[in-house]
Amino acid sequence: MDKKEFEEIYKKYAPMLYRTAYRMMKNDADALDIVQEAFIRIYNGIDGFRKQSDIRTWMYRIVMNLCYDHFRRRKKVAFVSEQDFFDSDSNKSTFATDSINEFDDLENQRRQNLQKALEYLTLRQKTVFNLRIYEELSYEEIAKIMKIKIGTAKATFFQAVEKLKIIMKEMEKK
Amino acid sequence: MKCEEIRKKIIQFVDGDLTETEYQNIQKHLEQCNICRRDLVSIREIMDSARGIQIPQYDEAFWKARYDKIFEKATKRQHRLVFLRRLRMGFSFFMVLFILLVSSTYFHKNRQVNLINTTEIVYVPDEVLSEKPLLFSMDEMKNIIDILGPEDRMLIFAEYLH
Repeated sequence: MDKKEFEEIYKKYAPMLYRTAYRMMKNDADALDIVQEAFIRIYNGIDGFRKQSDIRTWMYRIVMNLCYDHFRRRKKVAFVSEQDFFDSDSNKSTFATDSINEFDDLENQRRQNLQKALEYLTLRQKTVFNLRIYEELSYEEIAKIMKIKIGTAKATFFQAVEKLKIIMKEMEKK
Repeated sequence: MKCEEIRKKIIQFVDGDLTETEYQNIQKHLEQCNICRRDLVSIREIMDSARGIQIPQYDEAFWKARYDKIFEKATKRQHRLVFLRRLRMGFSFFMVLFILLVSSTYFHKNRQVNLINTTEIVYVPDEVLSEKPLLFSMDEMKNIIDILGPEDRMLIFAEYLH
């Protein structure tokens, strides 16, 4: 692939991949590192890429794999369950005080709580949720990216939203 | 439809992942049921809030500035990959050669030496032997060979052929 062709792909997809990486990592530097590594892999793998599948799906998969690797390396995989959230005393004060001090707006408070609640999702739930809500991908595309069945993708999304609903309710009570 | 059934499908309802009939059934139920409606509102709020979460935005200039560095790294990685691929191929080639060499040496050492009987010598084609004058006649040779051991027989046979 020549430089110009690669530049076209980069220009078109870099912001999209950054968005996805950022939603997963919640960290700007990590997300930019992942985008850089993703494009290095894309450059070296584009010739072997099977043209019959969607290039976007392939790119998302690269980014997701890099995010998973990153989590594994940093031993962040140990996600907490929602039960841990209810058991943890620190959450009781954090969510309430942070939100009141920093945000007057109810919607902003809800967003902040939701951002924290998202951390309680498993890696798979978080991935499906992000791809569905932010990237607005179909379940078929999500299933392809994650190499799971469409039914599993739907069920995972359902579980993610249910979990968020429960956590958010608890946060509002506090 | 019961509330339990509705709640199972309410996420799909918000997500737009239902058939037209299912959609209408749920909508009908929601018009009458306050609890399910509240559930719907809370799910909608979650999804709307999630969509509203902002992330840093970078302009085109930012991405362009990073491009050259990424391209340089990508080409370096490509060169390394090509080198490694060639190294792997070369190594595989030499391993195949080595295995062939070792196995041929092994089979050569352990091959069975078939000692030729004197009777077989008699049947060596005349045209092979006729090119050089023989020192002994076939009958004389047969008598000499009978006295010799198998290795000497081979030597003589080889000498004749030569």
